[in-house]
Amino acid sequence: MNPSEFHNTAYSRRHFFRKSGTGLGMAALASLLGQRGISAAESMAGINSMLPQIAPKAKRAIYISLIGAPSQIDLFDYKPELKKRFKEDLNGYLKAQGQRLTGMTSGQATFPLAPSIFKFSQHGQSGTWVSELLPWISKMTDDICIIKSMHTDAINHEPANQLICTGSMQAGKASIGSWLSYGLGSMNEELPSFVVLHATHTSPFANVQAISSRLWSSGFLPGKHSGVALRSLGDPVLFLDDTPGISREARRNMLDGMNELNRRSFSAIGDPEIENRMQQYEMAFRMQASVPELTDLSGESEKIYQLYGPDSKTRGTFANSAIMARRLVERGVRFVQIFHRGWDQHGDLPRDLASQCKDVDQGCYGLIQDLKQRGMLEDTLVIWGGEFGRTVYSQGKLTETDYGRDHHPRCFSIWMAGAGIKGGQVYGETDEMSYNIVKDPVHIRDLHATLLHTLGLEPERLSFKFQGLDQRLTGVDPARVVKEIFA
Amino acid sequence: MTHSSISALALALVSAGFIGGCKPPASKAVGKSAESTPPLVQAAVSLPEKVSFNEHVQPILSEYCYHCHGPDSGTREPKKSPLRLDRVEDAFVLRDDGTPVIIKGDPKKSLLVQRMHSKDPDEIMPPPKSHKTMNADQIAVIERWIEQGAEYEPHWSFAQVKKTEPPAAGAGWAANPIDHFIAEKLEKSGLKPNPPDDHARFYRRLHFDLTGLPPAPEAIMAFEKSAAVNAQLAIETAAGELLASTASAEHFTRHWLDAARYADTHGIHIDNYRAIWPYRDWVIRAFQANMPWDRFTTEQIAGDMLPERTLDQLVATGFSRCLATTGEGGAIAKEYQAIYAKDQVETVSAIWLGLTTGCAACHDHKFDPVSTKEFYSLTAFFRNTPMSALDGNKEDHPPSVFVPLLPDRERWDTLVQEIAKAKGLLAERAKAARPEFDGWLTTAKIEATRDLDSSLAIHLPLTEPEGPLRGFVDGHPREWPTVNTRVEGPLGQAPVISDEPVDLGDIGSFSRHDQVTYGGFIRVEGEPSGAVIARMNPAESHRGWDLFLENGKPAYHVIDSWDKAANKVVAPSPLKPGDWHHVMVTFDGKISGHQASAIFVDGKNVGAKTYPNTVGGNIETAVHLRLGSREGGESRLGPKVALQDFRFYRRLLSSEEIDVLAKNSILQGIVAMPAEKRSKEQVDLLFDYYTNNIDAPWREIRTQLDLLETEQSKLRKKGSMSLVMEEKKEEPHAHVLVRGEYANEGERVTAGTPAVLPPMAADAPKNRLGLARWLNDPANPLPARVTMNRTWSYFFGSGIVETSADFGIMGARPSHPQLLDWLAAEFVDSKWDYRHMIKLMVTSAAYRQSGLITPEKLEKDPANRLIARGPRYRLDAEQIRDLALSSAGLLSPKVGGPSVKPYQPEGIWEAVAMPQSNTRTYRQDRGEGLYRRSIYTIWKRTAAPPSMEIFNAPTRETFCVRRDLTNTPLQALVLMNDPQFVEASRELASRALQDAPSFDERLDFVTRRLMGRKLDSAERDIVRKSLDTAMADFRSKSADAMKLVTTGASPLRKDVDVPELAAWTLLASQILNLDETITR
Repeated sequence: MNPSEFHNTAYSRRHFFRKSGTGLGMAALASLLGQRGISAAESMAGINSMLPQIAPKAKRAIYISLIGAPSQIDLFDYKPELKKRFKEDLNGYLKAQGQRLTGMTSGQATFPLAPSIFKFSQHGQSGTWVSELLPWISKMTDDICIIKSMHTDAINHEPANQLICTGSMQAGKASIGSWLSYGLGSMNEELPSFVVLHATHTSPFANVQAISSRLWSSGFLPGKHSGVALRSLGDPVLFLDDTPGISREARRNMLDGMNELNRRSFSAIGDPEIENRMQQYEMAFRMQASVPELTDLSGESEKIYQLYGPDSKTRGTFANSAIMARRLVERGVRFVQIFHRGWDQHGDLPRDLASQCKDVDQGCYGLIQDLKQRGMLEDTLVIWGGEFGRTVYSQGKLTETDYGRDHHPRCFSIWMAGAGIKGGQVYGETDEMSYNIVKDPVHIRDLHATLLHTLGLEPERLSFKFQGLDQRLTGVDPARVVKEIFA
Repeated sequence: MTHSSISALALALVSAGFIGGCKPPASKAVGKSAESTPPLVQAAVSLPEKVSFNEHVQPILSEYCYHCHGPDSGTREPKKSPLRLDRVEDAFVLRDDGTPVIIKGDPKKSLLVQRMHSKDPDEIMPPPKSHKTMNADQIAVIERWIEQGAEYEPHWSFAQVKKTEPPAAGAGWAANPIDHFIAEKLEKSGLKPNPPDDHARFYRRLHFDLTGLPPAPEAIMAFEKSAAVNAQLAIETAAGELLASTASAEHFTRHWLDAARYADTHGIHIDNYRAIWPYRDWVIRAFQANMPWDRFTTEQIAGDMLPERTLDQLVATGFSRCLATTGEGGAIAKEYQAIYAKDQVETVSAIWLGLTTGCAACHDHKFDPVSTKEFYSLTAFFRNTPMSALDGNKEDHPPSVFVPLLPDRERWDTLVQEIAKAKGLLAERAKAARPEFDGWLTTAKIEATRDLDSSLAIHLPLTEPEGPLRGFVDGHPREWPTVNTRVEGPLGQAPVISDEPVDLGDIGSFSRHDQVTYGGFIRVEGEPSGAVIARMNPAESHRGWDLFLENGKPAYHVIDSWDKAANKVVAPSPLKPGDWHHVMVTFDGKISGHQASAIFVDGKNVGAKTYPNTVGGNIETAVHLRLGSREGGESRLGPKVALQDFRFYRRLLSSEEIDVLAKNSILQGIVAMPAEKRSKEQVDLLFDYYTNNIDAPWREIRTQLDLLETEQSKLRKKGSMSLVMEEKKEEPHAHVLVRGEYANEGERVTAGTPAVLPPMAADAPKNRLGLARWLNDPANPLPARVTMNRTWSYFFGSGIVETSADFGIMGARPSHPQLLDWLAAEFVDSKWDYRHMIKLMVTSAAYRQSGLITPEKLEKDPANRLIARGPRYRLDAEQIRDLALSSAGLLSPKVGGPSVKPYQPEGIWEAVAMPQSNTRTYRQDRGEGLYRRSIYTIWKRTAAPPSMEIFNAPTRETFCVRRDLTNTPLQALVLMNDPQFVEASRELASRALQDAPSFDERLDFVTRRLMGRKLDSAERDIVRKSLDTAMADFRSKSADAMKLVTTGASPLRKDVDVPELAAWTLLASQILNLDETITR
């Protein structure tokens, strides 16, 4: 067909839709307005599923995911009495608990109790106990709320990470950030609403677990809600840089020609998708300018680098990612998730946990202080934590100076800050062995409910119909918003 | 209008083109709620004259009522006297007050309706806590239905397929029966079909839809010519020809692999490489041969169980092995067995039954009549496999089978026989040789292993009773003075190398990517530490390699920079003091992670631990090789260690070869023993030695056998293992897992199918073979419908039932129920002739329509459910890449074989992979591997090819029967800047420049290949303007031009005008990026 053949049939979309004053027309208008239009239509549907919304405490969130599961016993869950029980065999106790063990320790003959060898001390006005491994986080205990009573259903990394990142151990569900993007939409036209950062770990001994895009995938939600990973190698966004030899002017020239050709095509065919595509190319062109501006940290002051620590100038480190996270939320990104791997200390825990902590400690401090000094902490939620806890008994050989710990789903510690959360607080308690929770348990779905609630979304109402079911981040079981942690 | 109906419609509209969707485990996500709301235009019109339960009532009841009053007994309310509304036998049961909640003919008196109208929050249905509100129109539908007698109907998709005569509508327009069904609906809605598409444009669409590739300009011309004479005949001929091509088989295979969740890695945790591409090639051959669909089904579901199964039929069962598996250390087998079984059932359900059975894993299905018990009966079909739950991170995770390349098959089979025969002869000769062996034993002497091998770069026998050490470097004799003492060794007097280090000189260097094997006999006293032999410089961050003892444990290092970029490998236990042990290590620089390293003690791989295992790029150092310490006396060996027969090979020795080297010492010991003290095993060892080294007839047969085995191993390298299914002997069974928890085993169930569907034939076995028969049973209403629906969606953009994987209560209703049934029946009647059905679809007048979208049609039928216009959709990821390669003349025609690694940005795999994964580092192919069809691109499940994923290729973690179709800026960036698209643009430009001298001819060259047409004059002006600007630009910046045209691996043609080529490259890229180009 000659594309100009139907030229005369072309209508302005606005003209056409003005004619139809019905709900259909309105909805169609919203849906056909290209990029912005889609989100309008979606948020219309979103609003429907969520109304009434609640007053948000936070506009955005940063989630620091420590993949591999940091040991709560060596960091936050202080159990001084255990010193006396060094090497006590927990075999009988474990049998009585009826707990399933992972394939890694289920064959162990004895389960010797391994007290933490690290010193704990009290910090801040609150007098919160924190391990010597986290000297920087110790300085800001009055800014954070430690939850010692987290628990999960999974005992191995893959399902546990999936559960904490998507609310389900099964693949194919939508991740936290996708839900936020879907429920709240974007605050920035040039950046995705959900960005993922992969921070490097420095120790060559770190026991590193695999992760995959299923942890930041949109699952059954539309693909545009997937997390976009800002890479620490090569282009921060895939293929962002123009091919060598193509200048900005050359690209502009090419796009101008393309726009003219595409517009003619639209006139001939009338497919709204063509205009949508033109807008995507323009957005790409804008991103080519805005993303380098975002990822160029050279404008950050020396004071900032000092705040986040010596690693912060090196691209890809945790501290550097923390600065990047701040820059992202500053620019309106809704949800930033930083993944830091290597926290799976089955053996050599004292050596390896120390280096892992060193990787993240000052960066976390810098991030919270930086948000605070910019007045952003009050409406930014920050969460720090792994996918489960670690066992009080040693995996493998236990000596005075060395031990390892297996996976423990029954309790673990995380901390949260910002967004009206009362700092200097410790929520929940575990028993004398950091084995079972004795007070205020918080399941992962409760954490999710709290997170959604903080951002103004009702966990029950944020849903998406898929496979005939109203899918929710918090799943089918009732979830509780942990309101007590807020000031 | 309420929020909910606005959103439903909005989203139906959104689905018109931008958002479709396969999201991981399922069918589609057309925006928000289209899954539950039939996105038909009719749904929006006012109260129907005659209310139908299926079409009007059930969608409302299932949305608002079934959660508490439906199939799931677990959530049924009120608890004390549960009410069920989904089945006629329950809906009219008398309640406590003596009346049913529905009183036929009297909506006002029906409690059901009263509660819907209630204002009291304690009374109103649905209750406030459900967060659902019915609107007045919906209640009115229920009221009229009750008024008209409240008739229930069975769910449409469970009813028998009925082949009706095509309606009369569409006479004069219809090309085949399909069109009459389409025309009837169009007439009713007052819409007229679009005129036929222009010939060239139509042919391009047909070509893409049937082969996944663009047509050659010549083919378009030929089609236009024949279509001008008789369009229908031309289309039928073209469809037949295209469908018969291999490219077509590859294209339909690609669709199928999405459904089968095919990938080249295991998927979970370490995510190592998996050998299963022979299954992919089997699918290609099946489509190429137009295998009847029932056979296609049977061979994939149960090929292993067929009588006298062929290798191909076994390979076909790879379908059920495509699922993601784990090898995670701590994983609990039972948990994963439950996960796998669920995946198998969900996949088969989605592909053949269109049912979301997975919902029933934890509770009775909320909406569909599939109980938890039935779900677990389905899992029983797939649980009867000897496959271990943990894949061991092995590429050939059993059950698996070796598959030779097709041309090697015959020779492979005869080789197997010849090898068996030779082995028989060998055994016979061994028997015959026994008396001679007994004679030999009386004077037996064991020779040191002969050095046949040119890869033996360093050999130090170390058997001299005194004086200098003697050895061979690259075959040449060498001597090194020493003061070391000697002890008795297996092959003579051995030096105690811990006495004093020996400088061996500038030998034994190797690089990071080499493969080496080294080691020898070692005898320790106590648990010594230090370097046995080392070429390592502690002053240079320990760069180099060594063989090491760590408290008596054999170990070795390969180091770039300690400890950031190094491999350290340590055996689990120390050597027994006072005994001679053979210690040999292998380092494979060609692969990464744990697999690269191994330590063998006495011929056995001891499973050494590698930690750290991040060896860097440069391990070569200028220092000398030393015995007994590293450079500068570091890591001095002690207390007492002797060494003999040290060997350094520049290749990987097999474990068998290492075993032979190790055994010789043992043999020496046995020979030295008095005859009566030798055990039977020891004598057998000597006999092995005798036959292998002394007995000439035995050796002759062995040489023959070696030749055969060498040939076999060559064929083995060309072919591949492939994962397959096998059945255990016992009767398939499973346990109901209460609430889906793997550890909570309930009732034991045998294999069976859901009661709502016709039963399995009485004589059918209750196993996968029986399941396959049931899936092919014409009485089963779902498989043919679901298959035809999915196939329809390949050509029309969405299925007749939009929710391709959900034909259940909550799924969408068919837009053309009679057409769907007609297709399903025709499919069965044609003896499951898939190609016949495709041909019917693409030769219909409906398919031939132009894609023009008029405001009227957009208003009345935004999602084109009525097919009043031709389908117009963006090409899939693979089609776009193949289009670029093909138009540039770069596309390789090779079919099948191992997956390839085309261009990929650095760090994609590394960012997510575990260090020990053998798919951690992406090493791009060179040459042909860069230009194969996209179906052959290696698919790492945890990091799918990024430029394809950006264009909505699924991750293949779970089945996908319909892809998303988004439109994002990331896609623009890929098409503009991914080197494979830039290179293709350059090659296309380069060909255009060579082809013709004039602007117009060159432009035609480009656009005919990319768009299938020439541009009109207005368009030419626009392109010309862009080109002129680019040309001027590149003329003034020739360095930039050079950079642009040297993107990609293919060489730049000689004598090109670089700025001109750069400008044309940009032009070709501009055309490639056009909406029309990437749309079919």
